[in-house]
Amino acid sequence: MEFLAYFGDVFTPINFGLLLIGTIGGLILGATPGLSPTMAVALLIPFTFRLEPAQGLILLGAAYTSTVAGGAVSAILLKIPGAPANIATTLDGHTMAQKGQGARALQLSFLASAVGGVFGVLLLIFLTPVLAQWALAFGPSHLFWLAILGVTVIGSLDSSSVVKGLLSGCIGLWLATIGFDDIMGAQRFIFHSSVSGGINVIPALIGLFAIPQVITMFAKGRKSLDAEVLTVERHPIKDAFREVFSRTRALTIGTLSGSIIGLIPGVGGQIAGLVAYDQSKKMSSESEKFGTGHSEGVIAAESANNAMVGPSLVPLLTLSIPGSPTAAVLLGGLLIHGIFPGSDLFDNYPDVAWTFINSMLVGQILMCIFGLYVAGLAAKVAQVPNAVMAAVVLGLAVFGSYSVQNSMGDVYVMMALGTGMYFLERFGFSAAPLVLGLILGPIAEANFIQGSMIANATSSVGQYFFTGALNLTLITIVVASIAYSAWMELRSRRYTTKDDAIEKEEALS
Amino acid sequence: MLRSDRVFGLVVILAALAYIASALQLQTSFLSDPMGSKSFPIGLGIVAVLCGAVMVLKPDDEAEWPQPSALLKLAIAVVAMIAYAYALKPLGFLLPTFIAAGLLSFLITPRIVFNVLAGIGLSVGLYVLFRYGLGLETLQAIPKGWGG
Repeated sequence: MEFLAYFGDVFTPINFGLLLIGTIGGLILGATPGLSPTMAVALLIPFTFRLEPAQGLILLGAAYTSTVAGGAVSAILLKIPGAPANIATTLDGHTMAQKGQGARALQLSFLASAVGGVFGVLLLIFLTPVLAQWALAFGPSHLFWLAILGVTVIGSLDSSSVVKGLLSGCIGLWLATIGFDDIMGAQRFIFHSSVSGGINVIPALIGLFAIPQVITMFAKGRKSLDAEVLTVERHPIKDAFREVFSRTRALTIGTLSGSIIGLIPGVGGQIAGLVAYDQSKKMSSESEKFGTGHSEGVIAAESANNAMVGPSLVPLLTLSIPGSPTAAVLLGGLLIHGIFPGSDLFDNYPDVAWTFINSMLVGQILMCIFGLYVAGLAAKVAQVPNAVMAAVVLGLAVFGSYSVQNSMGDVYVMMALGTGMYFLERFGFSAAPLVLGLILGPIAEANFIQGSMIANATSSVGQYFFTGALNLTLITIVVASIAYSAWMELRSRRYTTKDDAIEKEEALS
Repeated sequence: MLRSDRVFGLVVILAALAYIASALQLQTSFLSDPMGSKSFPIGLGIVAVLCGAVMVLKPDDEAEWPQPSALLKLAIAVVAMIAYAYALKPLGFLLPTFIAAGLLSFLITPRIVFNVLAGIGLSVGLYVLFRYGLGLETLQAIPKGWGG
């Protein structure tokens, strides 16, 4: 119950103001097709430098929460998911809107988001301290495997092909080895003076997530969205309330599957909505109505998306293994303030940790309130022309990267990685595994070397890394996730097929 | 059949071999730790070689590439960005940003009035954002010695 002591801190004028800005801004950014939540959060990081750590995190956390929920607005009204996570929402939500029930769909999605989101954050509140204690039992070999797990799980489950997912993870790990190695201090792979201090994570994140989207806007040119915005008519909120809470099955399935998926390091929210949609369709007594504007579909998908947000921070805050690409970006935001997640965070900076977590809880409620009243408006604001958007994003990317340490080198790194990522995406690679590789690389390597030092002093390296229940469990999960995805790929029954990936991208640009 | 995946797979293998070779060149420290700074990169290189080999042997369907005209626009945009980076110091923030933002928006939507307005709005808006939001105090609005 430690978290209760820090609730007051959320409501100081500055903190609450930042929470409001993050929430409203996040809703608008999330509703904007072409701005993915991960990119929005990455572009926000440079603005948190001058804030206190807790304040910066409040802003980033609020933006994370509400961009995910805001993505439902364009999914429902434009049939363009604001983020890949909202794909499942379009299935029933857009059909509803076409039938003239856009307001109902929006209200259902925001209420379901709030229920899922609050549950997810509560899970975060109660699981994190327990896991943080438990995490103390993790030795170097376990942390090494956990870092590898983070890269392989997202690599194998979240890209168009297993090999390409793993390879992008590898490329990320390569990039991470540039610069000085943490333990020995040896200089490695410094091929240009811009990277003499290693690749700075913030410019890398900005480049990898923002630049490919800007380039896609150029490549597509004038062909702007021809989707029409469906108008929203009035719908009593009371009815929506009653409907959400009478659909307990969809709500429960969505919330639970979202939470569980969020907890798995690396899987993240991309598939949470789809899995929840699939499951509640299977279990529903009215499964034939799914896809025809059925409320259960919207409720399951959106409660899952937001239930994922809280739990995806659990592995981040306890083991510093981000649970989703956006959580990886948040890790970047923590590290620039010199705070390392894990027991260090809860023992030495409890005020930062708990103020942040509590603000996420309050943020869910605020998101719901603002969502219910301004969602229709947000969709209109969100119709920013691509031409303006491209220039704004590019400007934010350049100066955001520059401001990290006032160096042009970081800007070059950002541009080079971003342009490279655009071409990699054409080949079917995705940015998420690469980013996790880049962030987890130093963690993996430092633990690998520490582990082998311990091993040399005590037993053999093989014995240290490959025996013991925890090591074996982690290795099993790594192997199983790769094997499962490879098997699914051979049977071509993946949640993310290549066509989906292309579709996703088109939807995003 | 020559697929871009096969070519890319080969490139990956070559890059990975170069990476391994360069890792082998690393000086081990005098502490002479057997694992040291080398072994992790070498392991990574091996995994990448394997992934590249799978791409060569079992390529995916052909990737879709943008139209040549789009690539031309892209090239113009990149040149504009590089020129922009060099123009910032001598010319201040507002003028180069106006030109660059106007040009970029022209490449996407060629409507002159709109592009000029976008250029003006963005150069002023972004200046305020960067100067006060990001706290870049060194940012100069107009060239030095222009009365400001």
